[in-house]
Amino acid sequence: MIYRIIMELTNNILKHSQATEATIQMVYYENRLEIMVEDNGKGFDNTQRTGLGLKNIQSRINYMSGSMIIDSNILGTTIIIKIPA
Amino acid sequence: MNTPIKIIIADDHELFVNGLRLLLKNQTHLTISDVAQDGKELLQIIEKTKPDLVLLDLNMPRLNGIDTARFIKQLYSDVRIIILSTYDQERIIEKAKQLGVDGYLLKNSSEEELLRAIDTVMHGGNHYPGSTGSEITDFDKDSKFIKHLNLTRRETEIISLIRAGLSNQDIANKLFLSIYTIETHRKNIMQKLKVNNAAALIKAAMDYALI
Repeated sequence: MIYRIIMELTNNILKHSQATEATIQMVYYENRLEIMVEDNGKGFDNTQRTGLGLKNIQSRINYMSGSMIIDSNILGTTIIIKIPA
Repeated sequence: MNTPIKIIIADDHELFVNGLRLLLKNQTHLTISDVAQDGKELLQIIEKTKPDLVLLDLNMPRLNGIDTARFIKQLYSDVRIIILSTYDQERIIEKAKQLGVDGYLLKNSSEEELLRAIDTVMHGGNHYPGSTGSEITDFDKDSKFIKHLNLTRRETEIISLIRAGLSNQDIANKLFLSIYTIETHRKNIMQKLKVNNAAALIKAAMDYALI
């Protein structure tokens, strides 16, 4: 499930962001897993989630009672996902 | 026969400790009296057992190796210290020398080198890497080091901004990121450096020669 999420996010970066750099990291805490995906691409309007990809990710995260925060502007996008253990 | 050299191992990695134990078991002139999981525990054990030698890991919870070494040298100046570390970083090795640490070995050293180092420091000498090791450029060492801690470029950038005294909000404005993102970065950095407040974060970053 987490693999799928990361694949989808990676795909988004490759397909849409026009980024030249991206970082994907997972940080393990005692009570949660944190996934942080950063890129330096052109960003997107987070208020208009039209694509199926992000909706899919969101529903997967909901299923695991996690949260996803998207911080995006024209200088890049940071997506932070927290999944409780 | 002389009494064996009493050694304490301070390392939070169980497999590594077990490996050391196994390795030193055949050496009748050495005995491992205790194992400590972190710096604080080590200081308590030293007070009780008065060892001859401490094999010290740098990256431990609660009290890191550098601070631990400083305390040991202040409080128990006759206890010898060999640091066993994965960090092949000039500034850390320099720091260890300044604190009067007797030896510094990389964790990928051979059994022979460890025994030689123990022998040297127990006879009052120092054992440090560099004299025989291959030369690596500073750049390589730094990037290798950052890789060890798994800090990303963004994270090292944020560390230096925290050090410059900027608040999370300042950093957020400067990097065009949300404050939530900065807070998350900050937590992740603290998790990676095993610290729990900003002062300790800066200190760790300086100890590890990141900034």
